[in-house]
Amino acid sequence: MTKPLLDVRNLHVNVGEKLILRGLNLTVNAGETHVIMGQNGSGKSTLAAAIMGSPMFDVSDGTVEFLGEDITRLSPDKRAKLGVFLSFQNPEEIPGVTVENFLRAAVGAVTGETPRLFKFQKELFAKMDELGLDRVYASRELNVGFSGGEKKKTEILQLLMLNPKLAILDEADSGLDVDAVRVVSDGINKYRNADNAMLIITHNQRLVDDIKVDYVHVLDDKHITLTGGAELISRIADGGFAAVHGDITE
Amino acid sequence: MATTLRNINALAMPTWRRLGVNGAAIELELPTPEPINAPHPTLPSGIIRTHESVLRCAEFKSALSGELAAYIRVHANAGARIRSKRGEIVAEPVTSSYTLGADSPVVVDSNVIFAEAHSSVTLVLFYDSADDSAAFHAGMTRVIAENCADVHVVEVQTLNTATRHFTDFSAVIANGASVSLTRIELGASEVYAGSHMKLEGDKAESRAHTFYFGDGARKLDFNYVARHLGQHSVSTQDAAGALFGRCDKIFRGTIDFVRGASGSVGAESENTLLFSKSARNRSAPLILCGEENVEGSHAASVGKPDAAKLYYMQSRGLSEGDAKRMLTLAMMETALKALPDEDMREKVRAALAARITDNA
Ligand SMILES: Nc1ncnc2c1ncn2[C@@H]1O[C@H](COP(=O)(O)OP(=O)(O)OP(=O)(O)O)[C@@H](O)[C@H]1O
Ligand SMILES: [Mg+2]
Repeated sequence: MTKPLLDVRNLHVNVGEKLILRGLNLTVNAGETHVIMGQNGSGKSTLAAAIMGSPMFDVSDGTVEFLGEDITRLSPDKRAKLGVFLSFQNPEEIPGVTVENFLRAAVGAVTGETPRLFKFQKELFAKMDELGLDRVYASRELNVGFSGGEKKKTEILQLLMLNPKLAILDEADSGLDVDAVRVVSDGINKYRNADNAMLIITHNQRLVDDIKVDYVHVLDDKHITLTGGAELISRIADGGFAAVHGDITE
Repeated sequence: MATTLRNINALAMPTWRRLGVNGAAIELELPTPEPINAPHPTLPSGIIRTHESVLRCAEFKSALSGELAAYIRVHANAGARIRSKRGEIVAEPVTSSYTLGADSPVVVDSNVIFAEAHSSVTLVLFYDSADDSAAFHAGMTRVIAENCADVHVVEVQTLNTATRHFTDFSAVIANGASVSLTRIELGASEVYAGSHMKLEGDKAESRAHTFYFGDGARKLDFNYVARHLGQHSVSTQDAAGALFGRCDKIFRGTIDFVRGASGSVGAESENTLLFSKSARNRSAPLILCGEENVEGSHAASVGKPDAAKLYYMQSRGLSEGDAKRMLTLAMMETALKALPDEDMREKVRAALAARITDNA
């Protein structure tokens, strides 16, 4: 049997004294799309940060494995090189560094070889066109002065350029207009194939309307309390988290 | 000729005694330079060669050290002496490049720019090392900008970390004229850099922009002065830099509004990124108001690199060193804009990137 892409076991995460996740388990295999839902403050972004290796959170117990390798203590750049990607809920602004230079360096770091400028630009522009991002943004400072929607599109641009094995999308759709959500879900569909996987954190049904979802998890009380199929999304959309509250799988 | 220079980079008004920032006293062996093979730079049309004597009509002040300025004047073995003719707007820069090393261990350059009214001229100076040997550089640029002239000077210093580097700049700026100095200081065991902008005319303008990179146990010592005499004169002094290791940096920025300089505006700002807890970072802003109707401002931001930004960059595969290098290079971009061509800019970026690999 092939190893799961991502295997999170008994994950406990703290910020300072505060315990945010307690005994969370999650397995994602290649070829799967998972959705995580949960109320504000339930710990979805914290889970994403723990998988990516954010220094702001402490993993006090449990493990994160990626393709069978324990990455719990690995620095974020090493995780990125293994194929983990996180689209941030709140992307950082990096003054003085252009989108193009940043992404070229990132592709170079992840693949081990800095791409030739012209080939890289061609690919970058093609992806920007697909996402409806004006090409002038390539020479703008990364996320500096970008609108909320532009930042989210730039995250998806980075996803498409870096082509990771696991893409975690933390509210990639928040702040996007109807058309932009469509553009993002198209982008996601272009990225997904049998060898990679996705973990989508969202509050909205719209993003996943056009995406084939395999599993939906509800995060509550510091761990995953319910796992089901795509039908959970519409149940939650219609009746809120109360509608699924009694259905406990763990 | 062994000398102790007592008052190098001294403040115009020694008010900071407590903090020991008034000026440095250093022991110095002032070498007697050998002639070096440094032909006068080729000049674009509109610019002609001139002689030091053109400076006699103005009074220059050295922010670095009067003694050193006198030494440079007497012992210079290199330098560009240029004059832009009235009304000539010359975009093409005059470029002097010096490579110090075993073959030319002492470079003392004295540069002269005389910009006639309504002319424009750019001088670019490069100081680099050929090898690891300890060398000595002392340089000085004096500028006269006549009415409405526009002068740009760019200095790029990428010397090895065994070489001492002294650089002084002094300009006298007439009505409506503008002088800008951009310094990019990446190397040398010690950097002593002075700049004195004398805004003599009404609506005179000066800009001084500095980027510095400090690492190891190197020492960086800056003393910049903008002296406003003319009405409605405008000065800016901006510095940005990154400090690693145990380096010791001090930046003194003085805006001096002399009585009569009404309506003048002076602004200084500094943005320092501290990558190391052991680095020493001092700033001594000083605003002297001999005139009431003026506006002087100072802004400083000193900080560690933002952990959230570093994490974001690392999440895309960049190592911590890559991320630090990228943030430091980004801080240099504003200063790099002063260089007239992209090839030069790319070389300077590579020079800085190479220095950060060593200690990130
Ligand atoms: N740096 C921090 N310091 C203190 N508390 C934090 C920190 N980061 C997160 N928390 C807390 O951890 C809890 C989970 O936050 P998290 O951002 O993971 O929630 P979320 O499920 O992503 O919420 P949302 O849907 O609003 O994005 C919240 O109570 C939050 O206040
Ligand atoms: Mg969140």
